[in-house]
Amino acid sequence: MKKHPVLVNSALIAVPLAAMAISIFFGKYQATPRDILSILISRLWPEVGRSPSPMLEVALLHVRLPRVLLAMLVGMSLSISGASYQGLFRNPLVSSHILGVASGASFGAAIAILYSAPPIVVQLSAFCFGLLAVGIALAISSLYRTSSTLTLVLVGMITTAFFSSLVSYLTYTADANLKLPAIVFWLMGSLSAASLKNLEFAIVPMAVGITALLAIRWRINVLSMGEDEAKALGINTGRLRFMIVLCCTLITSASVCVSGVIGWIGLIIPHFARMIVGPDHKALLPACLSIGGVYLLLVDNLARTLTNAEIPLGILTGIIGAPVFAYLLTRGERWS
Amino acid sequence: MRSRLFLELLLFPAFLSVQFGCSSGYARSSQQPGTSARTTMVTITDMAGRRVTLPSPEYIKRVAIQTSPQVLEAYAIGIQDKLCAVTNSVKMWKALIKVDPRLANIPATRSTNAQINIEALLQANPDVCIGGDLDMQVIESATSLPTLHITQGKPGAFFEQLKKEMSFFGLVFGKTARARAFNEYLDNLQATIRSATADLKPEKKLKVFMGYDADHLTTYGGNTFMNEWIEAAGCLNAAKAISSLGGKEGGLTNVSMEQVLAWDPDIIVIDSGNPPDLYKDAVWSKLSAVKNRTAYRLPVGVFIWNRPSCEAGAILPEWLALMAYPDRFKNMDIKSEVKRFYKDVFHFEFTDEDVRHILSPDGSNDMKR
Repeated sequence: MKKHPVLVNSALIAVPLAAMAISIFFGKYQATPRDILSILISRLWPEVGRSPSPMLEVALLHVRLPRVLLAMLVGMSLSISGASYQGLFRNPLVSSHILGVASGASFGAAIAILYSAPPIVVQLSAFCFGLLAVGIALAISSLYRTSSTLTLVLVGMITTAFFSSLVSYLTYTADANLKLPAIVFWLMGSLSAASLKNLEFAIVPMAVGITALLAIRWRINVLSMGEDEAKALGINTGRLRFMIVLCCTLITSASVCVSGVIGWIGLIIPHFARMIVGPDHKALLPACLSIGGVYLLLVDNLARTLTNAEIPLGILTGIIGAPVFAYLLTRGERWS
Repeated sequence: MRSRLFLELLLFPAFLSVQFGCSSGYARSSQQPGTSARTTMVTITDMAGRRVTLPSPEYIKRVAIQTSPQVLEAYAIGIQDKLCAVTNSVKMWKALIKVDPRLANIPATRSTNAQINIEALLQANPDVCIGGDLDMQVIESATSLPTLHITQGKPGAFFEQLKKEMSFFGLVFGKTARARAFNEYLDNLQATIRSATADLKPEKKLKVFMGYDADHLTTYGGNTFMNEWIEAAGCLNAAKAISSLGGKEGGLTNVSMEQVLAWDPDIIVIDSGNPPDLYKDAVWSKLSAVKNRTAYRLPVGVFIWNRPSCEAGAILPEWLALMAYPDRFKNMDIKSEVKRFYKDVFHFEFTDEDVRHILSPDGSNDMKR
């Protein structure tokens, strides 16, 4: 694989673009490719094309397109933060949710749902509690004298456990007829409510976090060699670590709050990407963006088209992902 | 220190006597079925086909009903004074507390499926427990209280099941006349709606989408009671093609916005937020129902109208029919129909103000009291 870097790199760029372009043509709102193209053309060059139906235009531009973009962005966010954390903690088993962001966000969403809040408040509450959970983890870990990354992982597990219990409590007390289904659907992850508003809400923190991670990605290499080595090279490990955690938290909270909890991607995509481009974070992080985005996009395409009802994403990412990646891992030895 | 010890010693006998007083009080009323010579026992077959021996109707003084819709059936046949334990969710509705202020102080011993606080239930001291299979099995495994199973009917037979349940309640509590009155009310109401909408061709029937939760994207599919209710109103369920998981009672399913656009329903009913929010929304405002202002907020009576209860099963189809085809029901006014329903079925008269709240809930009738 490493013999053809140009080929690999161009595939990593081309495949997501192609996947997005193809995804636009599939959906529950029946439309011919011709109509879809004429809507897109009429939007780009109003003088040339004419929109065949205002309803289709809304379905395409306000529902399907934002959803495709969001699926891409959420997949990118979860996998790049997973890869960064795996490098930072020097542990292949951590994922984007290691510091409690998902359970914090779940609690925020559940409590907002319980109080019949409008969707935007549910989102905001999920976002804020995601940040808060990681904030608590960082605050507690700073109380310990040792600054090892192991402490941070353990504290992350503590906050995760704490907020998961709170979520369990809320689901237990939630009225089974009214609020429970909403909370359960949220916990299983879905992009069914994707809209331009969601996209606008999530895109800024995601773009900021992803750009920053890409900018400092070579330093993660140094960190992953170990703290002492990094210090010997003159890197302020504490600040770098904080920076990485901040970026990852920002993008994972932003994705969890629009999509609900989607497991698996932040754990496994980095491994898959490593099989293709190797362990160097300079190449690994961009590869994660590409592969993670495409993977979630394809899974979401299935979630929204397989049946008339929505299939929760959290279910599909695991059911489809587990066997596929188990197979790939058996072949992985040959690649590395 | 010494004075505190003294105080405790002084209070101890008082504490003991309170305890003793309590327990002896319960001992008197908790005569186990069969132990008292005066209690007549009867054996009946419950809805799961089990033979159960329990006190005859006049000796049932306390009943624990552990499913919310069936608590309403107790009100419909007029035995609410016997309720001694209910569910969490049935206590959340203001209007029901208005009908029966005593309900506020009845313990809620069941929170959700199979989550029953057995000690609290024993404390409530029921002569008989009524509820779903799972909940009753929990009670049977821990106590010797007589239990009656309300087994779910087959999907697609809601109204049959409701009438059967009502007759069963009538039999257990010796209120067969009230039960028959309810079943006749239901039959007459449905006959009225049916005759007014009978000549509607399938393609002329209005398509209804029930959109629940904050994002209005959770609904009931074709194999749920809601499908029957919508069809009883002479309408069609937009989500009929969906087979809801579980099918029986839960049946709520998530759908995508794009799917709702593809259905483009004639009527939308939401249970949170308000229709004017839909008018402003970039996507929802494109739907015919929103453009034509036929998007409504789901009414809330003594219980929410999207659950399989005797209240909603009777009144929701009527409300929907009147909303959908006002021309066909010119002589019927929904406000007086709602008033009549609660008066005839629950023997309670709501004021005009109450009815306004029921039909256009502004949040004041929502959730917790």
